[in-house]
Amino acid sequence: MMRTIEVLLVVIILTGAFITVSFFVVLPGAREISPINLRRLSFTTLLMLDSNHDLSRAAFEPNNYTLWSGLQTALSASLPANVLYNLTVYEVTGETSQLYTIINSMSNAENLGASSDASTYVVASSNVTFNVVPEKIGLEEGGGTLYILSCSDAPGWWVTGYTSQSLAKDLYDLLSPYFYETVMVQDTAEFEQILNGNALHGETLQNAVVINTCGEAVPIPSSYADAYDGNSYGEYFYELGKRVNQYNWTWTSIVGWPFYYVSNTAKFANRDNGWGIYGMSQVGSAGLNAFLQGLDERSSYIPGSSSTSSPGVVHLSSEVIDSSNYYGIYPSPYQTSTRALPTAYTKEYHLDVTTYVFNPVGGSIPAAIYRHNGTDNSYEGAFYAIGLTRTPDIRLTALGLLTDYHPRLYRSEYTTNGTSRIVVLQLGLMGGM
Amino acid sequence: MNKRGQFSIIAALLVAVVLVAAVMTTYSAIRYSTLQEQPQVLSAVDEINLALKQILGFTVGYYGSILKVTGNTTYARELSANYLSSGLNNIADMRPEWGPSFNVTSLILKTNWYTESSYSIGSVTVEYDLSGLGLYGMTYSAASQLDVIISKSNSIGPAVFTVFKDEGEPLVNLDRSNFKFYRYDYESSNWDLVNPIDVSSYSDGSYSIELPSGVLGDSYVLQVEDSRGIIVTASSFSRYTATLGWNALYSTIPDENIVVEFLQNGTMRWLGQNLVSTELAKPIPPLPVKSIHVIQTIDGVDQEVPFQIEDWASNYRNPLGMANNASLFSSRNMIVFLVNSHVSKFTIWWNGSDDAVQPSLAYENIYFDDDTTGAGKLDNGILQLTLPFGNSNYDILSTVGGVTSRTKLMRFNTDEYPTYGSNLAYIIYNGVVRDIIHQEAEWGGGITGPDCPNVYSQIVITLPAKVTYYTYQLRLMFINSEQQRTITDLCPIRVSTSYSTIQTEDGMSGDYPNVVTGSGTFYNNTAGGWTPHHWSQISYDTSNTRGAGIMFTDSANRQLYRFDSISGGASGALKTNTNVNPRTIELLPVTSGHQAQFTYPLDVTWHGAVITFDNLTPIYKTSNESGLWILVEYPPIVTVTAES
Repeated sequence: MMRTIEVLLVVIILTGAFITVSFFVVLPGAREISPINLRRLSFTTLLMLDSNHDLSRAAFEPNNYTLWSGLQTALSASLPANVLYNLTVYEVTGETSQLYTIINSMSNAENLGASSDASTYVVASSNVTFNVVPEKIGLEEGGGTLYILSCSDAPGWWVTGYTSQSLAKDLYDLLSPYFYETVMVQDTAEFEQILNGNALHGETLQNAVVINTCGEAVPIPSSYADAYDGNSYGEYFYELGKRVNQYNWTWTSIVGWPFYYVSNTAKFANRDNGWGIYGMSQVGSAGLNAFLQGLDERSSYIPGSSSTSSPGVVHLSSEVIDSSNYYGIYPSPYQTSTRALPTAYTKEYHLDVTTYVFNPVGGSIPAAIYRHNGTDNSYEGAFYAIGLTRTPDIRLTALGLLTDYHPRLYRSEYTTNGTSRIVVLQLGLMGGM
Repeated sequence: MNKRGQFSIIAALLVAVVLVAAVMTTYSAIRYSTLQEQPQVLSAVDEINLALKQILGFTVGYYGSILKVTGNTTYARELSANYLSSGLNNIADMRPEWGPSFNVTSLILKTNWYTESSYSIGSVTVEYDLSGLGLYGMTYSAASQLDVIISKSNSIGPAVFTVFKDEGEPLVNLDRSNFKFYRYDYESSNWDLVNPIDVSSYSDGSYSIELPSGVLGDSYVLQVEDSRGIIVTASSFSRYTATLGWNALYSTIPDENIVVEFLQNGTMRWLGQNLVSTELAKPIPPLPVKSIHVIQTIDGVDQEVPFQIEDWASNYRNPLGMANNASLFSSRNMIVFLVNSHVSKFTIWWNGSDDAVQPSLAYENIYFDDDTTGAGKLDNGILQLTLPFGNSNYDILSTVGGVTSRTKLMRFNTDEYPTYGSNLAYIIYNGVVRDIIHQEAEWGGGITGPDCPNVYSQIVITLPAKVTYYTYQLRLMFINSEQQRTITDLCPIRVSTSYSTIQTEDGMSGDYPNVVTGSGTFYNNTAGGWTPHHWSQISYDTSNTRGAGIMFTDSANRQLYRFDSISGGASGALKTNTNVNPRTIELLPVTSGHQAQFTYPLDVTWHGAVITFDNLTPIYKTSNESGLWILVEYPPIVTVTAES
């Protein structure tokens, strides 16, 4: 009997223990053992937000309140109620000490807690990345003006088949997209105005590019013709060189022997260039020499002469061939040069060649952009001389300038400022630690 | 024995305590312990793969943007590969803690544009490591694509087409900003891109858009750009076909060629005159030059034919050379080819693939044997042209067989010969279908006897293949002059040979020219109109077996009388002279005895052809009234249609 009671007690104890244990042996719910994977949730949310490219748009329009408001609404609707978020758009510069720059941000909490997690997402705007919109030359350096001398009162020479005006129009069509402002200088009076440092239409005069479409002739304003008729107008070119230096212009001679004639129909009404074109006066080889003296800031003008050479068939430099592809401008890769400048001029007049348009041949430079090395080692004025035989091919004028200034047509690198951005969505749980 | 029972109870209690304690401890641990960190690996791989896919999409867009500037595919792919590479660097910057490193094992970029079924596609395979996560040797492949398929078009529209993205998935959410139609501006000779006003889209990716004004329904070009920047330029046509209507008289000269210049705006020219078209001229899209082909239906058989694409400047007035095959067709380009009456139609078609290779028929010289040294000689296998500009003898010599004719240019007042300050420019030599030279005549001390200052000149000579003539384009540019300007004698071109029989057209009689034999000065004697004097020839005799001459079209004929209104009477004439040796034919816009005085600007050009023949077709054959005159008086009439 006594054994029976003990057995019963043992059974009761074990049964009680089993029952007690069974209260604990209840599996937790799925939510309790598998909490939210915040990284994955963040990632899928970003994908969802950009499914219609709204996120990409918002990333590039940080001030578009409507867009960002809609994005916030979508984000709140997409996430569980207990999830906190912070969505931030970054620019990755990669070029400065600060790798990431915040563009815009929005959040529904001040602090997401220590257990938050995030995903990143790359966006790019086709509007800023892929459109072929030429960059403007010289704008950042305080320039951006292209002057095309299209003077109705200044005939040209060595511009076979063209007039100065028709050349000016062709140049305008080719180059104006690359400049902030293109000004057609209509006559010598307007040319005088800019020579005297006065803008014609409020444009930036400093650091401009000036293209002379008169070939071997250069327009001369009447007052300058009056002032400098002593040395067969050589002193005018000396003065012109000084102005190019002063205003840091890039003076462009499109064909032939530069500064060979001065041109003004009113001042030279009864004088011709020797070939029946009135309104011109021959300066001869002294013109180039005078201009270079001025560009070199010589204290006074000393009449002299210049020389050119005929290296014959010359070939585009590799740099310019590359630019041909970049800008889609394809002149013939070889041309005939009969007015190449001597290499020695670079040393004599303190010129650096910043762009060889054609490969030098011996001691001759068929076409190049020369920049004058100033006293403080900065460039002061430039001269683009294309010493080819006529007829001028203004595509070479355009290509040389574009190669030297290299305005961007399309972005060359993914990380270039403004081409792509990163969106980071950081999530945390309400009450999380 | 009693103690054994107590022991059982105590043992049972211990078992119970241990069981309860073990279970409570275990489950407490399960319930309340902190969860382990979620593994990052899968998310990291997803993020990287997505970024790679995104960058590929942008790279395809970037590739397309380069192809809108250049036809140099190699260059475009090189730049795009650099762009992709910089994108991978960008990913590395995004997650430096993962230590990503990439190796692009394959990058394929491809476009097929300017056709009804156009696309841009790119695929990439990248091997990468995430050393920060201990992941190595990962490989990811992705493809990005945009397809545009244009449904059959008609002349009034609307444009109906379907757009697909990756893996053929319909792309349904494009709006008007994603579409741009090419509209040709005939004033500026430029293609403008215009957005449509309204877009209707459907769930299968199809769109219907009313065409913007100025865009033709049967020949429109459409650019589609998606949000990744991927561009596709599709067109409802991929060829222009021109049917040629030949006058019945051509049956007598079936093998004689004319040179057709097909300009960007769709105008076709022959000897400076536009061919009459029954349809509105259709401009050529900005295609890569390398993609263009020319097919002719010759005696009912289609075949590709030689042609060349040339660069010109200043509204097709200044020749610059052969167009680079990497360039895009623009208002500076023309397509040049030969046609004769065996050709019932010709087709200009293009291969829209970015990998298109320029056909050898566009650059291979098969006809010419030129020599640019010394005096210079152009030789098309039939006609040899000697060009002594710049030397003591300024005459152009044209030789066919045993016959040589002599041409003198730009006689002005008493200045018999101009001077030439520089050597002539061989713009195109050993060309495909023609050579071109360029020169400027100058007058030392100006034009005198009497004075005629402030004049520039321009000479363009072409020698086509397979013909017995060369063409001239002689231009005088009179600029505004303070000085009085007097012209008493102006002879842009004089042709001479030693033969004695001169025949000249003096008006028409029905379909045929009235032919006058012998010396004469042939003015415009038609009040309020113009008298046809399209040609004149000097031949050995009236059998017209050997000789030379000059011929020109209606428009050039009218230019012969350009100074009549200035002179105040009939001044321009075609003048022939058998009383001198050699005999001469002179094109005289101002004949001696008349004079033109003016100071205002005037730009005038005379076009024409100089023929030399030796037992070949003359300009006019007396026996049957046939000859090359038909080429200038009855140019073919063209009807152009756009086809896909």
